[in-house]
Amino acid sequence: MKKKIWAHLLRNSSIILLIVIVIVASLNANDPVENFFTVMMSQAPFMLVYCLGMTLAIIRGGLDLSIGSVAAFSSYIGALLIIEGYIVPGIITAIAIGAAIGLFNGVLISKINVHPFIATCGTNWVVRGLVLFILAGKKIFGFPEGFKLISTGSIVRFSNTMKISNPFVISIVIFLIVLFVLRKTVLGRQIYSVGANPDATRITGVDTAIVTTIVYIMSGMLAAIAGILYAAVLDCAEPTIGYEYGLMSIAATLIGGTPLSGGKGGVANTVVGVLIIVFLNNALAVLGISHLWQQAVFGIIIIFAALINRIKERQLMLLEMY
Amino acid sequence: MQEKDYILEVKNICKSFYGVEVLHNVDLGIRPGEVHALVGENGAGKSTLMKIISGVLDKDKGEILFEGKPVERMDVNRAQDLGISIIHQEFNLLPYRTIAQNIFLGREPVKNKILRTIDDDEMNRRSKELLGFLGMEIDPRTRVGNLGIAQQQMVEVTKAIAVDSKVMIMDEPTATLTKKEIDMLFETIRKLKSQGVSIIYISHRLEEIKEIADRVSVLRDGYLIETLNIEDAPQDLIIKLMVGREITNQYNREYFTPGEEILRVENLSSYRFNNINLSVRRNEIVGISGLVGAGRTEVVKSIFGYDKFEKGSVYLFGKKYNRLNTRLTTGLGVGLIPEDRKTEGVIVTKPIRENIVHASLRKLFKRGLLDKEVETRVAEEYREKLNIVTNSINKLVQFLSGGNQQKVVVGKWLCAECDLLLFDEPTRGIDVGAREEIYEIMNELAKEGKAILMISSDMPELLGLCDRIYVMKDGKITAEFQKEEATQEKILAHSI
Repeated sequence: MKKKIWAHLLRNSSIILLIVIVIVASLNANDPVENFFTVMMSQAPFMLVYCLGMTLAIIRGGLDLSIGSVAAFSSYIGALLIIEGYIVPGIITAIAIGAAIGLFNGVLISKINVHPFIATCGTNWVVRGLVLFILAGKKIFGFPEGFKLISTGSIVRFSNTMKISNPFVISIVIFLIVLFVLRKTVLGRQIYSVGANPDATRITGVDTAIVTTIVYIMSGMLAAIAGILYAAVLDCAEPTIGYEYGLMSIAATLIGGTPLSGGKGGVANTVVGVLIIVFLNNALAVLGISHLWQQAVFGIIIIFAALINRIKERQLMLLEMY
Repeated sequence: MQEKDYILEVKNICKSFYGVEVLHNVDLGIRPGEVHALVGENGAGKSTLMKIISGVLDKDKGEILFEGKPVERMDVNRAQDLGISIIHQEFNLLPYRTIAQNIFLGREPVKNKILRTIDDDEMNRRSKELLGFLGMEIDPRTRVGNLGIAQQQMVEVTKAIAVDSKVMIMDEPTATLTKKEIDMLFETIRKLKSQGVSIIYISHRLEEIKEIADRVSVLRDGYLIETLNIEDAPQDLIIKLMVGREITNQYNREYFTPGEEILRVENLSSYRFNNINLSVRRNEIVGISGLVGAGRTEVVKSIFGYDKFEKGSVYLFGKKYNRLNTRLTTGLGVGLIPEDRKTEGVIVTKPIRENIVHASLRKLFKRGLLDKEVETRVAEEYREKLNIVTNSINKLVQFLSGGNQQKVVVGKWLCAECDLLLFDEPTRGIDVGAREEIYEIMNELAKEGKAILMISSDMPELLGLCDRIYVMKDGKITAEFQKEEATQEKILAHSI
């Protein structure tokens, strides 16, 4: 019995951490409910979208450091069309650009055998350089109303501040799609097997290069979608967004409990990881902790989460053996 | 001979891995200044014994005496202090460092005691001396990576001399050397001998042993069978001692008339093997024998499309292919049960259920959507059929015994409806009981009309199971025997 409780606590350690952080934030906020809604509806959604891509790459046994610049580049090019009134073509173009850069990453990694860290790090700087060079730091703003609806519109509205926002709905839909792919499809199973043991997977006749490439294409597309959501929220596309996406999304994935070694974890964990990060930021803000301290606290939480995951894995393994 | 005359002696050494005893009461004595050859088949326990002597592994029972005095706890540092060094088949050298840096790795002479700056001049001077002793006229500032294999081996020997080794273990030192380089190595060995250094020389090449060794000890199945003076040990006697075990009838093989030819290999060549021709038919179990490193695994992996081959062709199910990949071969119905079970056979971090359907996802779930019910049903079916011992098919494969893991790998290919199964060392690391089960499964498969090509270093296993046996040596097929004509002696004679 004691063992069972222990196992449950361990298995849900990240959820417990999340609850603690949400409570801390709520206790100190002027209006806890409003605070909760604001964070959930405005900050979490687009972060979740790009973190899903990173999680996919990590489960496959690599990572994707290029998502930040992909988000910036694709949303910027999309914005050039959107500002002229071509909303749908603009969005499609942006996603297509994300997919193309993902394809490039995938081919580099699976066909030319470049280590994912090096491949995507290189891509990241190339794409970022392209953005800064082509666009020379110009911002695009004043989008058509139709596009702004993506961020300002809402389906259910309780009050001005308490509403289910469109970005929230979009991110949930995307999350469900990715969850479905990973859990219910052959492709999802193959992504896990490539991450857990690429050699054994190749021996079963799976074209691991194709699986890898698909993962990076998905990651690129998700980064592009995140970029567009962000542009809609800000009503502005700028070349400098997304610098922190790469490391933030690694942190969210790891805190959620998906290990860097690949083949394990999942996107549901990442939702928890994302919420921990956004509510942690929120808690630090409402507690009035200096902005200068926030990064350090943030770092400590990441290391702490990694430590818990380590203990968790070992304990669960022991439990499973008997 | 009195005990005190041995420089190194082991008594009653026992060692088990996971409950399987691999060394049984081994006694071995090494005299000062002798070259003592150690021979035995793959898996006879040679490397385990050497690892115990050099302190890499701990013994379960027994005693180690050095210069007549018992050594309480032998570990790597203790062995080094005593002067026992080992030269592995794969060198422990840093290719981007110089010869001198490699020789003095970890014990660099220092100029300044506080800053611990390295005294390069001293290091190079002493290295030159040591190299000179072995007759190597070479600049110690040369990078090791730029040296040939034989010279690299000399650097290893020099490293051992530099720490005043009294006993030097050489594990298959000539495996990668040319004739000329071997002569050079033997010259060195004689020089070391004259200095009173003892050498334990592990090799499969009996002609060499004749030339260089003073005495020879034969290990078989973890028992030290006999130690002989080299003049009392003609080659055929050594072979007889190496293989001399009884073949018990644990195989119960039924033989069938072979059906259609499923696999034919014509003139297959790559950089690891040359001009391989073989064929396998339905209802047949065909074996490939040979020493480790003869190229057997490489041939089989090329047939499977996992490795590339350069020339020649493979006929699978009557169709000719000049290039293969695993997607193609598995689609045709070929399955590989690899030697390295944990890294290539199964995904240890995934449950049995997922491993069983791993090779047949596309076939079972045609629309690309998983169906857990189907998956569970199929996995249960193979668990029953192959008698995989577990309390649940959701158990992670890493918690299964080797034998059960192997059954999972076999189940994976049966689930994929394979007709040609390539077994690479099917019973390595598997205990006796589970072995018999694997043999039974293989017999059953042949009965059902599947074709089996198997690699094994366990000769009784090959003789007990196979319809035909090919023998490989140095990347070539040197002989083919029908089951009636095959004997251990004949096979061994063609593999060494």
